[in-house]
Amino acid sequence: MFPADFAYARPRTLEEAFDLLDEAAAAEEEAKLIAGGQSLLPMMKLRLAAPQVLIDIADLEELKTGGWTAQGSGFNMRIGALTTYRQLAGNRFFGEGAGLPDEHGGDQGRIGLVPAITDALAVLADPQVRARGTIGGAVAHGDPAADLPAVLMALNAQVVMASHKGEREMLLDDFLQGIYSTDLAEDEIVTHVRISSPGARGSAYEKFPHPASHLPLAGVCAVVRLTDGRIDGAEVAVTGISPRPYRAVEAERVLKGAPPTRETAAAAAAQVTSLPGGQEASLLGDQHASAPYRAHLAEVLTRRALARAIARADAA
Amino acid sequence: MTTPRRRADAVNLIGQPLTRREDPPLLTGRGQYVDDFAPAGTLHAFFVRSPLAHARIASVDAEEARQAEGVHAVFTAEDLAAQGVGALPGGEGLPPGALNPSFLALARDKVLWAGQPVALVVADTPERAADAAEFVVTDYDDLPAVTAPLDAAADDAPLLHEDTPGNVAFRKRLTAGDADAAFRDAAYTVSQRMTSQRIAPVAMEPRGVLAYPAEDGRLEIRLPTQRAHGARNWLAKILGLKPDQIHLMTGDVGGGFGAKGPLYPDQVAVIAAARALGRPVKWIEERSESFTATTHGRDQVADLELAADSGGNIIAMRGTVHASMGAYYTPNGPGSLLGRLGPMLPQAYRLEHFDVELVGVFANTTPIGPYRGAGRPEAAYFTERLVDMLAREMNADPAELRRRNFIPPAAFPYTTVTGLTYETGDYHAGLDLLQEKFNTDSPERLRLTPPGQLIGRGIATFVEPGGIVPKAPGPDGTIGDKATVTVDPDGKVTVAVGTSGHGQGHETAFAQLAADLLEVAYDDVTVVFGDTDTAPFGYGTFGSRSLAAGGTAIYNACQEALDSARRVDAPMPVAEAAARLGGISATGSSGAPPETYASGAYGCEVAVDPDTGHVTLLRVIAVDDCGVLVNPLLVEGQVHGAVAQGVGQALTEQVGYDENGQPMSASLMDYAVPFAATLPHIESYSVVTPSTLNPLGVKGMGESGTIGVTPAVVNAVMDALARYGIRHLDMPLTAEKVWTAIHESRVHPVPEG
Repeated sequence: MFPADFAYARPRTLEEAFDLLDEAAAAEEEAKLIAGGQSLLPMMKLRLAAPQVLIDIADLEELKTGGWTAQGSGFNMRIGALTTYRQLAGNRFFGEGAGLPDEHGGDQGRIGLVPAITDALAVLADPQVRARGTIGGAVAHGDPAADLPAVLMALNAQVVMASHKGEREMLLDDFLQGIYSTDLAEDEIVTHVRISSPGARGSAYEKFPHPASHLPLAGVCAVVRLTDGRIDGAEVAVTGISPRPYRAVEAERVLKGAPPTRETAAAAAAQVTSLPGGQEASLLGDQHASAPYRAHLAEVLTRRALARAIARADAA
Repeated sequence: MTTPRRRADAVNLIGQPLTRREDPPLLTGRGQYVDDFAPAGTLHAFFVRSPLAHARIASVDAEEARQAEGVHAVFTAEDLAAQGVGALPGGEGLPPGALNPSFLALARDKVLWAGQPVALVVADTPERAADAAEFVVTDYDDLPAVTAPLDAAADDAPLLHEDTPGNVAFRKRLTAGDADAAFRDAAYTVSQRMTSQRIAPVAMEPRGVLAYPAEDGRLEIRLPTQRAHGARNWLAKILGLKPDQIHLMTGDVGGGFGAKGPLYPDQVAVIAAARALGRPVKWIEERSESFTATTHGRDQVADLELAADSGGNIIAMRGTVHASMGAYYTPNGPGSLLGRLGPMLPQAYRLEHFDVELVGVFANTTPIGPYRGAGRPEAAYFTERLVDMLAREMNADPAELRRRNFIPPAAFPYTTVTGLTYETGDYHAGLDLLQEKFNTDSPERLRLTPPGQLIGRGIATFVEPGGIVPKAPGPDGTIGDKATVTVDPDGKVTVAVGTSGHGQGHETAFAQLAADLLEVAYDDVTVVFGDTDTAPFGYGTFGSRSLAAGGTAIYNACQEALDSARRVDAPMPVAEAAARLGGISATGSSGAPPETYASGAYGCEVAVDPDTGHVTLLRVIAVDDCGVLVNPLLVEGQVHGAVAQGVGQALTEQVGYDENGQPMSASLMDYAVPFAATLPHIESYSVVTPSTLNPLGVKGMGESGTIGVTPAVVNAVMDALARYGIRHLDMPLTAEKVWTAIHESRVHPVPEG
């Protein structure tokens, strides 16, 4: 497990990092940003990736800043790209008792503003990866089978990117393009993830892990908001079964305005691979799980995620 | 047999659950594994391996690699041939007429599996060796590949070894009585094709080797192997040396499971390179490399039938077992089928008619070697599945059917229909204890029954041969593992033995044994093995043999030491006698006793999620009879580890190949070994019927968990799925496979509750 030779640079400021990216581009060298390295380093060791320059952004204070405001259930927050999974899990904003899986219910009374994030972080990889891996890496890597992007997508998260040319924002749903492919330009760095939500107390993430890698063979995040005994608004995002995480908008359409019942959840789940205009989501299938099985898992997990999200919304 | 004289105040150490004396150094990073050594001037090796499963080698051009930065040499098959490096040992114990193709350290003319070593690059750093390996240009003419044993045995299959009539390596038929007549007369029969799928051993420490010319002119080798003397003797033959020109040390070995028993082509190439270069050369296997370069286990397909009379007496078994050997034999590859799987099919039952053909087959895959159980788990799996199917066919209770057919306690020693003699046992006692525990909720049970899931229970019983002594004489011309016991004048005792532990806890168990027998303090005993200079000859450690064979040798050496002490004018403790005599040195041999036969009864409770097919283990109960327990804690540790590996085969593990013979599971991101969370608390119990074949009364048990738990898990899942009319699914019982079977079943039971 020896990576091919590479140069290593560790800028102290964002400006320095931009300079290094520009220099690499001018020299026609492939540069890769590294933060936690939990996805990139294994690929380099297997020589599936062989960047000529590694730019270690771990010291960039600009990527560690963040903050939030909340009013009622609604909130706005900006999370620094270098925030680790463990730091997220330890944040009482999302859910108390974060990081502790609770398989048999009993999560009432420890619900934060976004329990789905707590759900995802509890089943994401292992403690070592959670200590090093970052939220910025989770979105920038473009892995089709990552947990957190599904949750962020259901929260309508925006990806904040910067370069010498300035800063821009894009919906995560637009940012993720395909397998390991994103809208990030060669001279850009993901600096923050921004979430503006009318409320996500009624949220849950359900996952069926691959038995070896523990990446999701299917993962579903559901967010529901209840008003007067009806589902006032809902978001459902799916990961692991398609070349990129996607929003199950046809399932969301079924939920909107419907009563928060098992029947509604089942009807919505039945539409989880349906896209507008009678299209079907493109499905991944390999030796680990066939495409039909992944689609079936997504339906089961959607039902379960909706049931938990509704129960949490009721309790809130 | 004599019982040692015992002082009235002596502490009885045999039977005490002492904690492992190995653990403090190993757990605090003070272990001495092969990669912990790097003599001055060590060079590093990296292999160019075949990317194809089957191809003719048109050319190997190493010139550019030889010019690369830091490279000292590149070796190909031609280079090794020029040095007089011979072929690896072929298969052992082959039946007459068997093929026995030559297996070279580096491929010449053809490659037969993806991962076969083709060239060896030696450089000053591992990174430079890996970089330079990319400059070795190999030109292949692709040939069609065949990986599954039944496909490889077919008449029109691509032929692996040139100048052979086909890929069938050997056939052997085991017959007794008149099976066909018994089947004609039977009231009940069951028949099933079953596979024991190809799996990877995945030891924590991958393989490796470090070799260098020593100052005394010998070749010094650090090799993590299960057989220090055996590997040295094989090497001597391959390299054209005398055994005493090689000094081999195993150091600490981080798990073997059978896969560190063979000597490998890559290790031979590295050792030959060190000899040629006159410098230390080291190679450490990468994890993903390990998935194609280290032997796999299992990979058999059984077409078997079982017959019973109207009284529920099992009377006959017949059928065929095809077993892959991989591309080449490893020495013990054929033995797992011929000596274990086939003869052990009768298990704990007294059937009288038997007709099973065993077929060994070459295929374009990593060679098959022994893997924890080595034929025993497969035999138990096939038979215990058939017995459960028979119970269902007869509408009988699976435990009662087993009880009715067990060899009764009074019948021992009992010679089975396949000619094996089980010395002692009480299979009823084991099953009774299992059922008693199964019917009582465990106080340590942590896993509740999840709502909405299908609960299944399964049991399996088994018999496990252990303690084999190969019929190959040692350097003194006698058969047997040897032990020496040295008592210094200061009372310190050194026990050296020819078995070779690699994580089992031998240092603890053997010190316990010697301290108990010699009546000295446990802490005064040091145990030595795994070094051909300091340990006496032995066959190493495999096949659950170390306590029965090595322990017996130590017992006999201790008796000789005690005899020496007795010959001093007045009776006195051995340490005192040693002080008087200026030290005592004694030797002992295991001799060549027949194998011991341990047994067990295992139970599992599972929950199957009908929506996803996911199987959760709720309970694992293990009842083992391994005769006298020297250290019950070590026995339980063996059960735990083996259960984990057996559960892995039952539920998640499988080495897969695509249609071109490309490995599909060559990393731990793809190959699913069980995680800690896969396993519930393991409830482990004992019954004891001492062996009559050795003075300690012990039986081998290192493999029992893999043998018992695998069929118990599958029987439990099939119990849960019975409501859908599902009779059998092949391992691994992945969620998708279970869900698909439920989904496609035409039976739709009313949901419970």
